[in-house]
Amino acid sequence: MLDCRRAHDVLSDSIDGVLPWWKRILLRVHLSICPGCARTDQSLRSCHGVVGSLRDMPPIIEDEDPPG
Amino acid sequence: MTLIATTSVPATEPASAPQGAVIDDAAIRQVEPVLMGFAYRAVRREDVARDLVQETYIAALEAKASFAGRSTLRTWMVGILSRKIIDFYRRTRREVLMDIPPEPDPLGTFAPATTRAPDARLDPALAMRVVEKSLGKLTELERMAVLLVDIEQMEREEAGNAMGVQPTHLRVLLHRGRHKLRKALEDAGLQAST
Ligand SMILES: [Zn+2]
Repeated sequence: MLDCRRAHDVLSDSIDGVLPWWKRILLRVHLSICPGCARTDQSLRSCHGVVGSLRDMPPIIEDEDPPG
Repeated sequence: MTLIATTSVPATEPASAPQGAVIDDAAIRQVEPVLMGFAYRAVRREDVARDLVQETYIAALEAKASFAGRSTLRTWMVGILSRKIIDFYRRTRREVLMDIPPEPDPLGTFAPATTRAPDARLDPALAMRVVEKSLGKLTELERMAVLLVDIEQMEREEAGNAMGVQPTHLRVLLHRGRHKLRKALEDAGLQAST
């Protein structure tokens, strides 16, 4: 079983498809019973989609503080 | 001793280039908008971005004889550019060199998504603006990891090589960068719908 912290720790890996099959199954089980992690997963994937959509967009960088 | 200095290819040594591709000045210049966009997102300064892209052209033209690659011209040149950018970070911001791989969740990025009712739809234009701005708030290495893997769609291994970081470090950088961007979207009320 994965607890929430462990599930959270592998969400990013799961996006890249780099998890071993057994961890993938454990994560899927956890997400099916944990609304909080399922929401985080969906939010992360949605964000990933937005980031990917910048691929062929020229950057629009508004005035900002020096990056840190 | 620094992480960057201890790993992989020197910043000036280009990776191998696409096999059989016609690589000349014209072909390389066609990739210019991509390279400028990438560099500008990475360093957030147009003048510096332009210099780094120029250096990348020169390195690419010098290396064209050694073409024997597995990637597209775009990916190959982004790889060269990435080394230039990391080199720039190294020259200008010493703290980046201290960016040692921490425990997977050192900054408290573990936090469930907000429980507020999600918006029915993600407004794409607004979401992109929020992400673009939030990229500037990541650390330099987190930003590079996200740019290479999530925007340029490089394999993790290739991205790690281009950045000169170990796979475990890249994994942490991606984890932190992605969750920071996710939180920024949530904070802006742009959480995904269920
Ligand atoms: Zn959970």
